[in-house]
Amino acid sequence: MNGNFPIMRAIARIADIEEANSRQAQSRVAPALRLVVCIAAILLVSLSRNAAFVLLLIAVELVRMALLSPERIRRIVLRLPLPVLMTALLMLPAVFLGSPRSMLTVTMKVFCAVLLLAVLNEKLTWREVTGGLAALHLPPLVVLTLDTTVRFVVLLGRYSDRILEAVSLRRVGRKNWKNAATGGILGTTWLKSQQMAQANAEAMTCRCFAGVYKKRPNLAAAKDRKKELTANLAYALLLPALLVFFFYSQGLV
Amino acid sequence: MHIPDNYLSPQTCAVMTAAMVPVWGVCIKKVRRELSSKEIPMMGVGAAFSFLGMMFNVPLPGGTTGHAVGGTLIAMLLGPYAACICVSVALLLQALLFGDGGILSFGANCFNMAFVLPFVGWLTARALQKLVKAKTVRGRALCAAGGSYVGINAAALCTAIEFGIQPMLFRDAAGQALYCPYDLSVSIPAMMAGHLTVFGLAEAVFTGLIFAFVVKTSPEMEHQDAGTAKTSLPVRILLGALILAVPFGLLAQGTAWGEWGSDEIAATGAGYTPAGMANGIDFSSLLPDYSVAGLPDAVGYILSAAIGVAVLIIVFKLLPLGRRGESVS
Repeated sequence: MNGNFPIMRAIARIADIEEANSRQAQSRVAPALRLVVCIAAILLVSLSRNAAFVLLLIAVELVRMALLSPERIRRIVLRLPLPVLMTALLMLPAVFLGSPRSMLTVTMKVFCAVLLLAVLNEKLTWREVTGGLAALHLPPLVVLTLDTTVRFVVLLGRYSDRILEAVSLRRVGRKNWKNAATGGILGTTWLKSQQMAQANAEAMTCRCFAGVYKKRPNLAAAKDRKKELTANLAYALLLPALLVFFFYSQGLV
Repeated sequence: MHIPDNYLSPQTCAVMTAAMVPVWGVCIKKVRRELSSKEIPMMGVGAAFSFLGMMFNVPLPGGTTGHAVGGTLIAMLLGPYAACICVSVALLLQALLFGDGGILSFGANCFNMAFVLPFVGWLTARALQKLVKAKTVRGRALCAAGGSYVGINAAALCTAIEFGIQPMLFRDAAGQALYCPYDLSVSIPAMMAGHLTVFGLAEAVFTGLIFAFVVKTSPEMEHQDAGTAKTSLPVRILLGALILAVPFGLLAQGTAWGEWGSDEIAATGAGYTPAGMANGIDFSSLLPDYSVAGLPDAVGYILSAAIGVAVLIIVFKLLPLGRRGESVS
C-alpha cells in the first residue's frame, strides 16, 4: 500500500504545477505555435547525427530556464534525472561494445527532449495545451479524451489520496486492514470515477458542450492584437531558423 | 592563469586544495550569515560575469594571451566571501565542462583566482576608497579598477611561484624537471610581464566599466543596498551582449603562458617534455576549449558562453531553496 504514496505525490505535484501555471501572466505567443515549435525541435533533435544541433538547443533551453523563478527551475531539474539516467543505463552496453560516443549522444538527445518538454510545461497550463491541440485541428474526440483523462487523473488521485489517508489512520490498532486496503481503494475509486463521468456528461449537456472545442473570439484591444501578432510572427521565425541551423549543422547545406 | 593538469605535482595540488578547504568553509559560513536567500541568485550573475570575463582573451606580443577574471568586481558588489564562492564555481564549471584549467590543479587555481585575487583586490579597493574618500560612482569605479589591477597581479605572482617551485622540488634521476620545467627566474618574469601591463589593464578596465554600469543601472545588486535583489533588465541585456561578443576573444591567437599542451611544451624552450606531463592524467571534457565539433569556433564559443552563464545562474538560483525557514519568490 505504501507503494501508492509516490504516485499520489506525483499526482499532487501535477495539480500544484497546474495551479502555479494558471497564476502566471499569459504569454502573447499562441500555445499552438509553442507546441509546433517544441514538437519540431524534438523531431529535429532525434534526427540529428551530431552533437552540434543538440548542444544549440540545450544552450537555448538552459538560457530560457535561467530566466525562470527558482521554484520553476527546481521543478524542471527534478524531472531530468530519471529519464536521463534510465537512458544512460540502457545505453551502457554500447560502451562495452566499443561505441561510447553512442551512449553520450543518445543520452544528450533524451536530456534535450525532456528539457524542451519540461520548459514548455512550465510555460503553458493544461488548458492552453488542449486549446493549442484543438487549434492544430486535432480530432475533437482525441482532444476531449486527452483533456478529461488528465483532469480525472488529478481528481481521482486526490480522491484516492484521501481514502488512503483514512485507511492508514484506521490501521492503528489490532485489526489488520492491510489486505483490504489496495482492493478497497481501487474499487471505491473506480465507483467514484463512474459517478464523476456521469456528472461530467451531465455538466457538458447543461453547458451545451458536445466535445467540440470552438475557437474563442479574440476580444483583446486592437493595440494588444498587434502586439500578439508581432510576438507570434517573431516566434514563428524560430521554425525556419531551427531548420536552417539543423541542415547547416548536419552538413546538408 | 588557469593551471592545467600535470604542470603541478600531485603533492602541490594536494597542499593547495587542503589550503582552500578552510577558505571555502569560512566563505560558505559567511555567505549564509550575511546574504539573504534573495541575494544568493545575484551570486550567479556575478559568477556569470567572471565566467564571461575569462573568455575574452587579450593578445600580447610574443604569442601569449591572457584574460580578465572579474573576482574584484564580484567582491565589490557582493563581498569577498561571495566572490570566492562565485569564482570557485565558475572555475569548476570551466574545468569539468570546457577543460579550461585542470581537475587536479583545481585547488591551486581556486587559491590564485578565487581567494588571493578577490581578497587582495577588495582590500586594496577599500583602502583606496578610504584614502581618496571616493563617494561618486566614477570614483568608486576607479578604486575598484585599481584594486582589481593589484588583485590580478597578486594572483599572477602566486601562480608564477607555484610554477617556479616545481623544478626545484621535483626532478628525475637525469636532473630533468618532472612537471613544469621553468624555475622562478623564468616563471615570475614571464607571468608578471603580461599581468603588470596588458592583462592587468584589461582586468582594471573590465572591473571599472562593469562596476560603474551595474551600480548605475542596478544599485540593488550592490551588497550594501541589497534586500530586494532581482536581476535588472539592463544587467540581463549586458550579459546577453557579452555572450554575443565573446568571439572577439578568439581574435587573440596563441596559448597563454603555462597553459600549453604536453605536445607543445618542448617547443616553448624547455627542449623536452617532462615525464610527469607525458604520463599525467588526461581528462577529456564535453566541450574542450569552448568549441563544438562541426561548428565554426565563433559559434562554439557563443554556445559555450551561453551554457556556462545559464548553468551558473541556475545553480545559484537553486542554492537558496536548500535553506530552511526562508522562502524564495
